[in-house]
Amino acid sequence: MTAPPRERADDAAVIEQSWQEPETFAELYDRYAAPIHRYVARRLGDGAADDVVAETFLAAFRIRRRYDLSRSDARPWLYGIAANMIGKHRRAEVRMLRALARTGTDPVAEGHAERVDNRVSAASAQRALAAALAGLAAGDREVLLLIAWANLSYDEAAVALEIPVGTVRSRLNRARRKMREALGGQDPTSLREEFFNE
Amino acid sequence: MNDLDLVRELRADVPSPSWARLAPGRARLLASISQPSRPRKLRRAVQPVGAADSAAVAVGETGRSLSGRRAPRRGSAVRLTARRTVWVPVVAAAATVVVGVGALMLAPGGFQHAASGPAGPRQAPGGAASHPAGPVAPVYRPATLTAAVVLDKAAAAAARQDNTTGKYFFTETEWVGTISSATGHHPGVYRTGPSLRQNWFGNGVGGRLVLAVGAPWPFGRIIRNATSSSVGMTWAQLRSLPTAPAPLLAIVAKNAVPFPKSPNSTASGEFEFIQELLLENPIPPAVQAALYRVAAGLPGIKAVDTTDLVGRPAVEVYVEPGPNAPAVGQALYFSPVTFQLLGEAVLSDAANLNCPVAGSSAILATGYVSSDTQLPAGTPTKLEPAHYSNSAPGCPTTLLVGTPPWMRGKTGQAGLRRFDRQREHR
Repeated sequence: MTAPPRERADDAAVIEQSWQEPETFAELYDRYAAPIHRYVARRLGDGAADDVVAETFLAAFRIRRRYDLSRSDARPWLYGIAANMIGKHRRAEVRMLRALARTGTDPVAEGHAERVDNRVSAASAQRALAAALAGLAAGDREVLLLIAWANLSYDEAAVALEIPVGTVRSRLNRARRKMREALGGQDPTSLREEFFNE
Repeated sequence: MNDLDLVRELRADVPSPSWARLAPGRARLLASISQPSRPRKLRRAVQPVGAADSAAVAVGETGRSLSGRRAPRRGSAVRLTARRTVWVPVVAAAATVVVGVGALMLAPGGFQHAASGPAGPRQAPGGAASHPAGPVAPVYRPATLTAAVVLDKAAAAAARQDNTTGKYFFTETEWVGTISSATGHHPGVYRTGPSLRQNWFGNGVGGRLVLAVGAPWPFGRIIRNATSSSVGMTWAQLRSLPTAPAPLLAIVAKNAVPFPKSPNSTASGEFEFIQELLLENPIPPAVQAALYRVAAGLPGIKAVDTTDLVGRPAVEVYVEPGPNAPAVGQALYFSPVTFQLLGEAVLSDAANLNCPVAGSSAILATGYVSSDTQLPAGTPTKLEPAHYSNSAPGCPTTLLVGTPPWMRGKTGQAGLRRFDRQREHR
């Protein structure tokens, strides 16, 4: 006879329990480290993701007593902390986006692809998008990618970044307008660089 | 498919990490949880908390004194951090076209063990870069002139140059860089080069880039578009930059990507953009002079006497990182006699110049020419012995030497042909 499966406690309950039993906090890691890792890897590359994710959870653990227990889902809170960590590497992020835009080769893809040939010749649309992403204001890029890559809702992005929902909307609109301009208003071939054998 | 869908597709092939991959992070978390000495009690508050607060707790564990020694760690939260955050520069294979200004990213913990090897640069009496005993590490001496004076003299020297241009602006540099897989499979940062790089930047026409003599994959000829690969500006835009420091600083500040946290970090970003403008771009003499004057006004700007990548006596000008600022930085090298620009470097640790450079370029020849095959008179075709280090005591990273595992079979002419064949099949 097996015990009935325990109902999964919501994140707030886990965090509250971790006030008394700190080890409980590892449950939060098990729930969300993988998607956050993938999100960070998409932004900063595979190599940076391990440290950024580890630091994110260390920071979250340290400030767990400040968590708003009325929020049952900790994802926005954790993505917000991760976003701040990512912000420390903004230059690296912009550089890699610029490299993708300029060369069609994505430094971020390098880590997992292993095969260098997979990384070359990104579609011109990707290059245009990368150039546009690199050119966004950091706050606009954060909102766009939390929604497009982390699948946060407007409300969740607002919680993550501690900004009003209206600001999320206006940042997203601005970012998307720039994406559309990049896709429509520019000749992608102007970004091309060709390699030739000697 | 709308724009948001296209953004969703971008890098969508980045996989979810395996549990094995996440295990060290979990162990770090548990280690910090079970640590007997808890940080000071955090205030109990119900309101949602600023992510900014949390980041402030977690980042900036390593205080760094301006003298290059690590400052005592501050704050109880520091103890929770299992290891120091290490910045290493990564010039990904594709980024070899922007040598020395490659992407920067945080190294995975796997790089740490490389640093625990025998410290100290290996010395080679001959100094030949390809010498199996390794390169000669540069020596740093206190500057005889301040950075402001050096930059002022550089501005005067630049302003005296002839303003005649040609169809192409040619630059030949000898450079070293780094390449990293940025992956857990083959952790490590490898030294690339020294090699020669010849760049023809065309006036309104495409240019040409030749990576030759010892260049890592991919090498060969690269047909370039008509914008600068470092700053993305056209010839006309570069030629029409303002010559007055204030509007020029505004452009520099707009284009620079500052680090957060420290005023010097903003300056580092601005200095980096100035450096990118000055290398391989047809900048008019008056604008060069103005760029040096702008640089002279940046906070934290410092000078030190040393040698450049090819061993020429040089004054190295760089921005010292402020407290809590990332250690990476940029440097420009000037002749101590003529105050001409000799080259540049990307520093892996601007607080400890003995740490290996992430990338460095020495300008061997430059000038305006009329075709994209023409070389200015006297352009060398051979490498000079290079002066750099791959490791030093107290530095977080030891650079590995040799061909990285993921590059094996992809270097050299055969690798280039294979690359071309694969490319045709896509």
